[in-house]
Amino acid sequence: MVTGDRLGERFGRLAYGGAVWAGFGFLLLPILLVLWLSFFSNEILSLPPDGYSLRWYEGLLTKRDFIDGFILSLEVAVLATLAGLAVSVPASLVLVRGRFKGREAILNFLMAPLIVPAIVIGAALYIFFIQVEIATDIPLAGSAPGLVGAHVLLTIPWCIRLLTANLVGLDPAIEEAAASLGARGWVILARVTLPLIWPGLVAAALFAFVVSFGNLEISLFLVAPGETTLPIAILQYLEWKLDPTIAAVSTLQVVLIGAGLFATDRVVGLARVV
Amino acid sequence: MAALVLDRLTKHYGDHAAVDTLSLTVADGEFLVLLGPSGCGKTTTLRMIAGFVEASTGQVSLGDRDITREPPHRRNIGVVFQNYALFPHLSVFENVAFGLRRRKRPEAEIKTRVARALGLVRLDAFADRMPKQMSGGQQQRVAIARALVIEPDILLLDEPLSALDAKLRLEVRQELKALQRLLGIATILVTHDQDEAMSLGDRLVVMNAGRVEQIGSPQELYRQPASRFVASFIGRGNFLEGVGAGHRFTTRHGWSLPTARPVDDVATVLIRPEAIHLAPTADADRVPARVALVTYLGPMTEVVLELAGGDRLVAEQASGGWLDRVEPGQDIGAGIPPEAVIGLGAEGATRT
Repeated sequence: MVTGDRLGERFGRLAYGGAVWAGFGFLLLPILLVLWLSFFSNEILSLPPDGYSLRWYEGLLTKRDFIDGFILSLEVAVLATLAGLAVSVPASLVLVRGRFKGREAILNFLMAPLIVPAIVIGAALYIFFIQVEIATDIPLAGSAPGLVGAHVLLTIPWCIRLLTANLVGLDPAIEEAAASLGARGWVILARVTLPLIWPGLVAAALFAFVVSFGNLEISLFLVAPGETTLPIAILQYLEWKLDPTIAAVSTLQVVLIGAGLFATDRVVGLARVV
Repeated sequence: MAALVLDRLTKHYGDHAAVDTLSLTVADGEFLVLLGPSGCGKTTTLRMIAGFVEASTGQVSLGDRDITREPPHRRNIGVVFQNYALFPHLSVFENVAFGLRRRKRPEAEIKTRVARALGLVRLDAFADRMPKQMSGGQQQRVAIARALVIEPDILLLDEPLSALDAKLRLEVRQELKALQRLLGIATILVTHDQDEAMSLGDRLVVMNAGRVEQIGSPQELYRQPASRFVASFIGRGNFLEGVGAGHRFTTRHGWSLPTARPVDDVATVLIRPEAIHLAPTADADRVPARVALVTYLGPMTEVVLELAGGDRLVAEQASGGWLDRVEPGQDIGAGIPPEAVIGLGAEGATRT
């Protein structure tokens, strides 16, 4: 090989590595910055900081809004994830296995919440819920079922994507073998299909949870007065103050979701399923 | 009593009949082979028997049980798939135990029956392995054990050997045949491989375009094929076209040859290559023929012959003697016994 080529190759590799690290840096910098800010001791954000402290984390324990918001977000996210999976598992099975008219249309319909801006979904649902309330006296807007139902819309596309990707790789003959050996439909699902798409199921649950937990736009329209999810609590706090409390809340949220991703990766290997 | 009866079984996909009024009986302990090119309906037939595909019309009976509308899990049929279809998340033991667990057998019985089934396929030592850790041949033997352990009323094999390499295929084939004889279980195998069909089947069903072309023993199909389709699918042959009348067939090129059976209305005759007797010279029983090509195949030598009128024949005879020294361009004699000239029905005609 000629020296010039080797030089060019080395330069190319360096440039490539540099671009990758620059990309990572660009993505991680805001998160690291928030992490750093959360330990500042001064109330008004300024650089360099006067010193470091944990007072913002301690302060969180006394702020009911954040604690209640965290609990509500957790409840909504868990329920929306479970309901999303309950809808998405059978839907994915039919969409992957079935060959029928309108299959593509149904798939696109279920993916639609990814395409429509969340703020539009929120506003539309609010108007719809009010109309339902006028017609039937069922108070959906501002109710827990209404909020969870709206979040299910968010979780469905993620669940469908991840589950169908896993199901496509599953040989239908394996399920037929189970049937010929005497397993009825739900036994096949529980003993064969679900165990075999387990990685996709875990990943779907995780992504659904994260999407629901962090959602602001839809929740804004649908929470009851005084009942707020964590992202709304953060927004409301920001309207009055700009101290590192927000950074501390965000850091905790990042750590929580990061731990979830890490655990999932250890259990099923995220790279394989996403 | 018949193990399985198919009565005018039909499967339509839109306007297309994948299987068309197929009637068939499988005797107890019989090894039946469905043979045909891809798309002939053999796999669809098997899947209707297993219950994976619903029959459009017709009836499937297992013993005296009508199972046409029964779901697969209530049929008690063992199925072995082309790609093994083992449960990848279960050990070999649990794969084989799966059917017994569905039947709620006691744990002790499951243990002994699984052990016995794995013993039958010589995999006793592999019970704790995962399917991934085994070779293709071993995996297929696990699949066979898994299908047999439930003591099915009939065993269905869907091209079970085609995913294996050539040497292994022969090995598993022999094992399969021995096992089937030992257990005496009625079996249907689907294949497009004529060697596999001939070596395994008690009876062969040759299918074409959703219909039965011919049913018979391997010998019957080879010696007395009902159509050119069957004749070309099973073994090799010379096909001569012309006109038959009485016990004489005249080819397009004007060569007239005697036949053992009357060949009125026959337009095509079959002569198997090994039925032609070659001799160094022509005589009263042998027509003069010129050697066009000689291929030495070891035990056999294949000779392509050109007859005076223009007909070409492929002959095959045991190697040795004068045949080893024969060369293209040489004139020799070719004897064709009248019983070797087989009249064929028109394409697609069914005769059983």
